[in-house]
Amino acid sequence: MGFYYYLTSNNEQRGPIEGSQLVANGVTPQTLVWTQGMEQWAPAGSVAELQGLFPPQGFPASVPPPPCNPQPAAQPLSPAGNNYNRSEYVAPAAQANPASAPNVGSNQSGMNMPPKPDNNMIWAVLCTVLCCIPVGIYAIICANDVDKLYAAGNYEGACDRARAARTWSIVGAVASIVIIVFYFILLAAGVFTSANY
Amino acid sequence: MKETKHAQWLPLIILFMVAVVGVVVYAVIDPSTSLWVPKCPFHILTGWSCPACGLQRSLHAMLHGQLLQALAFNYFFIFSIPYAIVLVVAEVLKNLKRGDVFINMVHRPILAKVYIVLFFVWGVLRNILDI
Repeated sequence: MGFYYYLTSNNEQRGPIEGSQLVANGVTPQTLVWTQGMEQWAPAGSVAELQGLFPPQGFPASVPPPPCNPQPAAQPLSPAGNNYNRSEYVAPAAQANPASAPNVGSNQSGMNMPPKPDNNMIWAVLCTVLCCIPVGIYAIICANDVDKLYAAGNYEGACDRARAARTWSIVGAVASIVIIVFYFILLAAGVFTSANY
Repeated sequence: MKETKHAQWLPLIILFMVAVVGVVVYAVIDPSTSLWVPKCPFHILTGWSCPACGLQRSLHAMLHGQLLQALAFNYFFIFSIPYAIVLVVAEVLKNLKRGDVFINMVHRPILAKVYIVLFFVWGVLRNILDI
């Protein structure tokens, strides 16, 4: 059995240690491990060589994560959720240089993920200040979810919400233009006669 | 690569052009007396002021140097205008690929939550207190 690197629940990289010593060091089937020859970090339970270390009734590595902690920056997530999410992402360093352990902690939340998507908050807020308010508020909520989901390790979800924030900000801007045009049509039709707001 | 670089500036350029047009229009037109600026559809339909009502009059007063009067048209602007401005600055910095500390500070989720809560509280309060 070869030597393995593994991640603690605090996202700290440890090792290398002998594969057979992993369990003694607190490695569970969900813990991310890496050894030479592996393309990326993977849950220990999914590594063929390590199968024998864990009892068969072990927690499957593909269980969905528990509900996200809304403030993951302040409090670490539960290890199960962390590991599941991390395992979805390929560390670019791992692919580029498989001879050394892939770099972890490449972003602020310490997970191997692409950079945070733009949350489009600026357009959502401007929407509520300058444009159509109801869709602007919805856009802010979407934009706010982006950072939350990203910090929780859900990159795909974060991208979706970022796109939603952008889409609804654009909808708000277009709606405002429509309202303004509509106002001038009514004005030309003589509907408004006093400047009451 | 060059195209994406241009594309990321496009929204800010549009915003800048809207701002320039807005400054010119609202410096010239007084929304309190003129019909030539759009009125709030929410106010027309319900008679209540929406949380953003007063923006145009406020801008007009601001451009004429009456800062206190500008504020009195909509007190929520104490928070919302600076918030919008730092978001714009953060967006510019992001495109310049610098100021990460500032960007992270501006994009803290708590700020957006406070903004939404104050937005609705202000919307209700101003109609109760008639401000």
